[in-house]
Amino acid sequence: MTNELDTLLSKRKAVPEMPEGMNARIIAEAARTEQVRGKAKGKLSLGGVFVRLFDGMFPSPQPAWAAAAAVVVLALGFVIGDMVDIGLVETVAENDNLSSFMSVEDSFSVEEWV
Amino acid sequence: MPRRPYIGVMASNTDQEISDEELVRRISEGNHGAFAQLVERHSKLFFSAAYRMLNNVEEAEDTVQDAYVKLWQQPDRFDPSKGVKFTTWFYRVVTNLAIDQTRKRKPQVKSEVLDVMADKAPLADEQLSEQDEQTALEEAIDRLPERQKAALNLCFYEGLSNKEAAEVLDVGVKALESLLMRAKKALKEDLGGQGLLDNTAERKTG
Repeated sequence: MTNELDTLLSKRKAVPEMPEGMNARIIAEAARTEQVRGKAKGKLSLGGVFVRLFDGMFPSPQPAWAAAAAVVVLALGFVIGDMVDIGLVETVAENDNLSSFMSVEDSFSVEEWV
Repeated sequence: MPRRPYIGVMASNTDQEISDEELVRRISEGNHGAFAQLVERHSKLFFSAAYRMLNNVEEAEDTVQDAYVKLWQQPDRFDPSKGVKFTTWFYRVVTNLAIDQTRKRKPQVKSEVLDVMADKAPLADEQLSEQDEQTALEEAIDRLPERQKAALNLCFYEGLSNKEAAEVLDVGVKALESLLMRAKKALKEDLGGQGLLDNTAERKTG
């Protein structure tokens, strides 16, 4: 059996029926993709929260531990401040004897340097 | 009674009046219904195009699914302001994905084709049944370079005009015509060598 090319091309077998449920699978896959993105938004980790909180403070991206360290330092500052307020820590301003606080001898005289 | 579409909200007549481009715009707003409608409207068309490239039902389905999911994820990649129809643009997406898929499996297919050719060699002078002709034709088309194969499929089997097919393949119309001419020349040599073509007729038509 011989043919012209166009005749032979027209004898190419037909495309089979589209698999049953293909459209449903496509739509489900797209919906699944969206759900993944939605979950990512809802389940932000604690580290992620810190990073977001400090985003404005650091011009370049910082790792979560750096943000956490900043929070610890800040908290420590508040604690020390509270301790000072209730008198657990004595500051220089509250201590009249400045020399003893600084461990400098009181016998110093200007003449020794002249 | 025909089966109801699995997403009933998609099947009304008024929905048919919404253009593809408008549906894509709605998809970019996260509209599930618009996406489902676009899938329902064109999946058969693109499955056919993918199947013609891949000759495999499962791979064709995966390719069409990948293309649609990419559309869902990044609908803004389609830019109607460039004056390209959605179907033309999406043919390009599907065709490129199908070509990628072909490249992934190339070594395996080549060896299969060689095996089939070796089996068929003793039958070259015999009269071939129509089924054998179809098999030989599929194999010959499969041996064409990717872009020649895509051009042939789009113009001859998917019914696209030369201009549309050129847009799909991102070439000029002249370049597309050249791809088609080379594809037909290669097929004539391949199939003619197997005794499947009327050589006299082919010489006349060039």
